[in-house]
Amino acid sequence: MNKAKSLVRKILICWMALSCIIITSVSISNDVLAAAPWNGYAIYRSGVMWNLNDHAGLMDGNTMNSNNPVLHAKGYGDTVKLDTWINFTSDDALFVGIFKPNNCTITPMMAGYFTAKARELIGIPYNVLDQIVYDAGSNYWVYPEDISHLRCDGVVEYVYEWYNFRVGGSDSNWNISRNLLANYWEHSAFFITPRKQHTELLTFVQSGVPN
Amino acid sequence: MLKARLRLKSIIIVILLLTGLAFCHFIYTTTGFVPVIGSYLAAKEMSKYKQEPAIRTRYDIMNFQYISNFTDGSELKLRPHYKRIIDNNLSEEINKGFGEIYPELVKEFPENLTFPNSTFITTSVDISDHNMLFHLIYLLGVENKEEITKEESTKMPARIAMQFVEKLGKDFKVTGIQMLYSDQNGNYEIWISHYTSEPISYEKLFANTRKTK
Repeated sequence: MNKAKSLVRKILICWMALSCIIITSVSISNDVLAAAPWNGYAIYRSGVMWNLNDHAGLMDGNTMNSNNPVLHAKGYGDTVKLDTWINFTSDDALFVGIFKPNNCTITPMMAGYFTAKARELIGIPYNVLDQIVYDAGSNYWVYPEDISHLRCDGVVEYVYEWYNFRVGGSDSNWNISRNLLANYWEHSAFFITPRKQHTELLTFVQSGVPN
Repeated sequence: MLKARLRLKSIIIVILLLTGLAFCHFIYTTTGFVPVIGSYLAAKEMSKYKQEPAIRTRYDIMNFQYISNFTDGSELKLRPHYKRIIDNNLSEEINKGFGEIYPELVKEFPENLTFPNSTFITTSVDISDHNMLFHLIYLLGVENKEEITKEESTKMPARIAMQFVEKLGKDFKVTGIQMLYSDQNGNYEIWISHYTSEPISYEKLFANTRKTK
């Protein structure tokens, strides 16, 4: 009986070790080039305010060659929209890379959730000063229809945090989609910026383009 | 007494004017923004390029550029301090053409070099000569499996980039590049802004190569 138990335990340990090796080898694979699909991943480019900051977007298409593959809050006077790759990269900007929420494996199902939620933000005007501006009344959550303005990093943060993947903010008030004044303040002004978002708050996936 | 006062006043006015001019010049050279008449001048330039009047022109403070919208729904950007117009429709078209020739170009390189499956190119137009186009190439993720020395590694990104530009031919005036290269000795990056009229050269590429890992 004991022998059988020990054998089961050994098999279990071997299985766990093998799983760890497989997972590690996948996550430590080349950090420049990985494979599609990329929908649901966050992408960043430089070139904002003398390169002091970056611009964020979410991949809606599988690759950069898909039709209008990027969803982003483009800039002042514009709204959240699906856009071409060239319109996202702008002109004379460094491509920074592809990122994902910490502790998140973007499965096809998860990617579907992210892109579907992101598409609900289409048409919301851009805002420079805060990641998000909304009036959600007495709602528990901030729904897309409550949002009046979004910044580019606000789009990424709202989509990921809606699904409970923490990006930025303090331990108790990190969720941008929770209708609380404290949570609102955590995401106001420049406490979080696109550059801070990808350097400190998300997991780097690769520096190559999504193809 | 009155004369002295007047002189002092005029000196103060001249100093204020000069300071104002210097400030405006600084703002223009760093951001391209021209107070009051900037939008008008930008709209004029972009209308001239598009050959139709712009319906709306605004200054994009985040990206330091003027943006004009046209009746057909298209949009043009102007960076006056770099003397460039950015026509994304043109850029898309050129990028599409580039995407078609890219796989063929890559095949011309030795097998030990792996290029990304696809890449892209951006284009800007000279403000005074609309036929003069400048390109910025992105080669993000070139891998070399060949065993080479560390010294060779530092030269390799510039060498590959130069070969790539030469293979592209004279139809493309490549003045900028972002390249990520890796081999057994580490990762390297080249970044050259394309806001210059000088085509890239091996020396320039090599001077702008830095080891990242």
